Amino acid sequence: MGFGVAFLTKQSHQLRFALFLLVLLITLSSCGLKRSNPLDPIGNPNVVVPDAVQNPTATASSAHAPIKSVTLRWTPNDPANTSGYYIYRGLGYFSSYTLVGTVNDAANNSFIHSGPTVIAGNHFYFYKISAFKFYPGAGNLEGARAEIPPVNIPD
Amino acid sequence: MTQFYKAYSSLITIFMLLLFVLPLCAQSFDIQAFSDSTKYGWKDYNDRSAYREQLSARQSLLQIYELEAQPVNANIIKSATIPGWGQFSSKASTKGTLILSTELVLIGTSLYFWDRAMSNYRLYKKATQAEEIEDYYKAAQSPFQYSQIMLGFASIVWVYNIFDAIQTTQQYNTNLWRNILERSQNNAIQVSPEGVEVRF
Repeated sequence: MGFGVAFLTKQSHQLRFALFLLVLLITLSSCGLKRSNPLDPIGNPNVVVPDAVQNPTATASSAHAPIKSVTLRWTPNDPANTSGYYIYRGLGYFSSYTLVGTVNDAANNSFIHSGPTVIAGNHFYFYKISAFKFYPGAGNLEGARAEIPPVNIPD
Repeated sequence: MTQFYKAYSSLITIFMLLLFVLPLCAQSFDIQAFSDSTKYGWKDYNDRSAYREQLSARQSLLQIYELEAQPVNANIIKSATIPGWGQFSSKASTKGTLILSTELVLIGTSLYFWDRAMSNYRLYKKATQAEEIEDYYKAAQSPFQYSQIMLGFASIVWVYNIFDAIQTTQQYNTNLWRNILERSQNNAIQVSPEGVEVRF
């Protein structure tokens, strides 16, 4: 009888210890990293993510044009969540994209890309456009990058 | 007043009577019973002498034990500082190696995941694009949780290591006492109740 009670007590102690370890592990694993980025919309409820740019298009300059360029157009975002737009360009769909222009006006709906890197030929340029919202002290929070169908500049 | 004197004198009489009568009832000191060696199981004086010698031999063994025994508290501190150290001190090197290597693997894995988490967390803190912010946070969160789990396991092993250091040290000391007794029994010269025994 005494042995049985002692055995049960020992079992119960082991069970409690195992339970404690389980709770400790769950507690440790549930601990998360602090969302310390001031532009993180989940960590900072005062931050609003800019809407994705709607209806973006890219039009190449016409054949035999003296200056080669690509004109980008889009539907302007609500200024409540947008301060301006970023324009990126890549040489392939999966290539890295480079920032080629910034438009600091939410109401603006076009951008002309020209210069020595805009060359006519048998290749395509891939553009992306995103809206950003300026937060003083934190910087610009950029929204989703909208893809634009590739464009070819004729000679 | 007279009654008071009467009562007082009768009290003194009773006290004097008790003073003289009580020593008569007291048991006299029995020197024979006191010096009787057989009451402890000794047959005669030689028996008692042999027992004394045995006792002094045991005391000298105890001194050897005190010199060679492992202090439990010291081993707890050793194991708390470096897991497995207490086990090594108690000559349980296999156990010590196992505990130390498990602890090193767990802490190493925890540090590896921590490093991965922190490199992604730094990118998260610098990110300005909404999707990148979320992606880097998620990329930091998973290894951080793995790191915490490994740290939890390492803590469990550390706690177990201290518990085991106590048990191992106690076991070592028990075995040490047994060995000392066996060693003394295997000595060429033995002191026993029957006399001094010399083995060739």
